[in-house]
Amino acid sequence: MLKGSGTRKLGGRDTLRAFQRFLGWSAVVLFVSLFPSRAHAYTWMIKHGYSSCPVCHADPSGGELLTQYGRVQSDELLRMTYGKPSGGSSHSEPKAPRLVRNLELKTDALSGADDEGKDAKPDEKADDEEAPAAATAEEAAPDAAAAPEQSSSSPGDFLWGLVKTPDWLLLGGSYRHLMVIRPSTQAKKFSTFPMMADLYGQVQVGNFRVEGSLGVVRVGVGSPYARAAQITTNQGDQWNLLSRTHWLGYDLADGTITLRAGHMNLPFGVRIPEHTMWVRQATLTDRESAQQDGVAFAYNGEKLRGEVMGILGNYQVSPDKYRQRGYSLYAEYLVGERTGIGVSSMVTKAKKDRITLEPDPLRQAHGAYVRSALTDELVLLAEADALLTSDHDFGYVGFAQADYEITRGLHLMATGEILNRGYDQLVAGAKTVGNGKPQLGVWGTVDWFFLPHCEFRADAYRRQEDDFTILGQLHVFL
Amino acid sequence: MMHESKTRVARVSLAVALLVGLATFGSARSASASSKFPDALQKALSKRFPGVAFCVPTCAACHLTTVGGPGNLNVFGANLENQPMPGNLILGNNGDVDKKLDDAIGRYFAATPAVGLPQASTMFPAPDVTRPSYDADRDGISDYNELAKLDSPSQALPSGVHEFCPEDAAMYGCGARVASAPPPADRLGLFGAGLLVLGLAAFRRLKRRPAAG
Repeated sequence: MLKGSGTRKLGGRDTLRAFQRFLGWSAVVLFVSLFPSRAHAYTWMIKHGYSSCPVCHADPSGGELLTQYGRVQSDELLRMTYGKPSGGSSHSEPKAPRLVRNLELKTDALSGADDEGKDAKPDEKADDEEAPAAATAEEAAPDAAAAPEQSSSSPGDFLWGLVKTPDWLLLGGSYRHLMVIRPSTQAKKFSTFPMMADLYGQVQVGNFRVEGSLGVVRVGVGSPYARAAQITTNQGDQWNLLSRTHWLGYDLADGTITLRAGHMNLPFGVRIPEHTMWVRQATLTDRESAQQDGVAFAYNGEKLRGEVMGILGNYQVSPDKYRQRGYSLYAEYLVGERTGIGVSSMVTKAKKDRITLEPDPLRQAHGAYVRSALTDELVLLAEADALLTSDHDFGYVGFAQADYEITRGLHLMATGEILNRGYDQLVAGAKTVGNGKPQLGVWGTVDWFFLPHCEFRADAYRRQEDDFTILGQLHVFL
Repeated sequence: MMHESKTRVARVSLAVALLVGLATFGSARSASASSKFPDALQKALSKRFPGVAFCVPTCAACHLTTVGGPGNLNVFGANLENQPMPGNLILGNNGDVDKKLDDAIGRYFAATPAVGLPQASTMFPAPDVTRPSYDADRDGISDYNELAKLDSPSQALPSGVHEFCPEDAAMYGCGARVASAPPPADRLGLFGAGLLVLGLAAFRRLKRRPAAG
């Protein structure tokens, strides 16, 4: 299934295929000429046996650009299958194979099922992890991904399978539109805006990979969002190009080890899509615009995975005094097959804090997290971190999220979160919620993957010191 | 049959995506729900301190971080929010934000803080007199006097010097510049040009197809 498609063929063999490709590239042009967005990782995929991220993502710690296999799985496991029997527990699904980056084939291939998988069929196990045969790759591939010779489009291909890219090229992108409703506020009750849209891609030559993302955004002066990812220099309410990630990578040991250098997401905690969740926002580890420049070492083994990054600062922010330098890391151990327990740690130092504008900030965050598929339908994500910031009292942040998949493609989620940044000794004044006192929030979410690579999500949340808010989000990812 | 079904699903998905993109295209006013308060605060302060070049402050002027609110106010922001006025300082961007901030700032400087609240002696322009006024950061210099010098009313001196409009404010981007916001017609033009190019390319390939086959 994943053997090379050879030279990409544009145009197709008939008018219909030409029109399909024209339509597909029109979508690309549309996204580039409009607004940016991001795709995101789904850490609850652990319930399908995907405890490790690089099987489906170019980033060894997950998120953003999908591999061809990841794109197939998003079609098979994420979206609602109307009319098809939705039965069959994740236990009956083929165990997720380990990713093998075959150097000779210059392609992502499957090494076969994990040798420890008790449910794995003998013919799914790889005899040689170094050089997976095409036949082995096809046997390990999901049944839904038909062989290229029998299908003019594959769900593993770009743009809903309409555009075949060469083996060395991965393309992706996503658009997200947000509606905000605050029924009880005396302020503006409804607003809608395109939140993000990015295009991203990866070129692989042998062991080397080059990945990058590009999008456009316009935010108001003083907005805390998007600015730190800008690559153009408009500081006001103008359009800007942005690049959230761009890095060079080198894979070792069949892809279990990846060295990277560039502008990257910080390895810390549970990589959830909700960038405004306090665990991501308060630790400055969200994937919206908290990326940093640095070098990273990632390991994805059978039971143990992790990444450590030396942070050199965000060179898309000036002057140098605002650049945080230090490290960030996580390590996760797989207990059984569907529970991962991890620890995270981050220490950064700058000369001036870009968030609080306070001098000489030393920021620390240390914590633990768990991702566990309690049943075939129910996944628990939880994280708790201690916040140690100079000129602040001890702080903490945490969240717990239960994700219940009613039927394939339809999720109900309940989330609770807590935040205390630690009393700000420089600002002084009375202790308030979130500043010396705990601040609480609860979310209720319906997440519906109604078509391949199309998602509608509705959140209703109530946080202390904030109005009751309803979010409606339409997300389309290429 | 399965292949045709998947192709149909793929086409439907792509059509949905295009419709979404086109439908939301016209609804976009900005790429985020930005607060109008920083602009309004600049106007209100510029009005009361003529000759002082106020910047558009970050949300950290009134909040504990640049993330802003709602809530998460620093002492200066909390004092401003609590000024008694019709409707109070309503949170969010509803109504005439400029007027709301202007009212709040006016009352803030006119008020004599209640006993127990941090305050400092302030010399106001005539016909006003020297009297106690708010000192949010308790550094002995009133907020009024600090703002007149672009010092932060939330960070005690000396760390708050020139911090309301810092000369070393964070700047974003790598040095490249793009034109300021194009009118919608330009975005449509870009999209249309892209469609035209792709259409021509597809048409040429279709014409060449019999020779290549």
